[in-house]
Amino acid sequence: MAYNILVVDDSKTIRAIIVKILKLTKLKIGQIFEAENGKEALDCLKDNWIDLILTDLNMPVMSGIEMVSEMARDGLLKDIPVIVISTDGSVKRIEELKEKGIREYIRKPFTPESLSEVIDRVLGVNHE
Amino acid sequence: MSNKKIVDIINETVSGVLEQTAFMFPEPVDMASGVSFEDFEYVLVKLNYSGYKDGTVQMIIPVDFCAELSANLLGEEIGDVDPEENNFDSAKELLNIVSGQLLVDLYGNEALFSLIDLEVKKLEKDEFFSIIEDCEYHCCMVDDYPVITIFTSQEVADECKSINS
Repeated sequence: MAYNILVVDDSKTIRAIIVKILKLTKLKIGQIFEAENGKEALDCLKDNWIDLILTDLNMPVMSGIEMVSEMARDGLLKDIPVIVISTDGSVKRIEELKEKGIREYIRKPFTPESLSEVIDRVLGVNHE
Repeated sequence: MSNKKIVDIINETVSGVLEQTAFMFPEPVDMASGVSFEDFEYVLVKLNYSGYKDGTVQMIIPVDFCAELSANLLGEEIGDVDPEENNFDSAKELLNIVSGQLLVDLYGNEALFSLIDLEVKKLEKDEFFSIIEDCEYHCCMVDDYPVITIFTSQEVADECKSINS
């Protein structure tokens, strides 16, 4: 199975880094979509089948938390796994996000290996 | 927390982030022996943090350093990276990551913060010197580029006020 992945971050540089890492992993990737904020991401989700979302938290227009809250209200979107990639290092914030339904949290700076491991765990992929 | 401890944490955090994200290896600067700031055009990136404590984190870096930073972050050659699209963006992201890590290193991972009002601008020479004359800054060198970090906390400012009053 090839996975369609949506990368949401207002930094073009960070999106480019994440896309690059995704292409280096062993994961079978269908399409990679990019969005600059939560609103663009929700628009993308209306038109495309997405298997996994990697999102930042602090973004203009619509934050990652607002996006996850919107998704939770939508029967079709609420089960798409979301991994947050953010600079916020607070344990309380991570707990709060997990209560809202995000599956995993990766703190910047991250390594390609850590991102790859978390994606595999969330998608239940075993490359062995 | 002592000023010396804060300075050590800032230096360790900036070094750690640059090493891990951009494979750049800063070296400490002996300010007593003098650093030449004259040779570069500079970019200021700044954000405010609020929550457990309030304050500001700023970094001042040479424009040419931004280009190297972008290339290293993206794993590309400098010539292959579009400076218009990436250089300021990379500087903002560096500050964002440094600030997130710095607040955890200073106050622990139980403290809640919001990072807001991230902005970037080119500095005129007189603006640059005015800032470094007025603020307590921390400088390290990456290759030949000075990388300046300015951390301010409302708590420290309040303590200074009460000591002086």
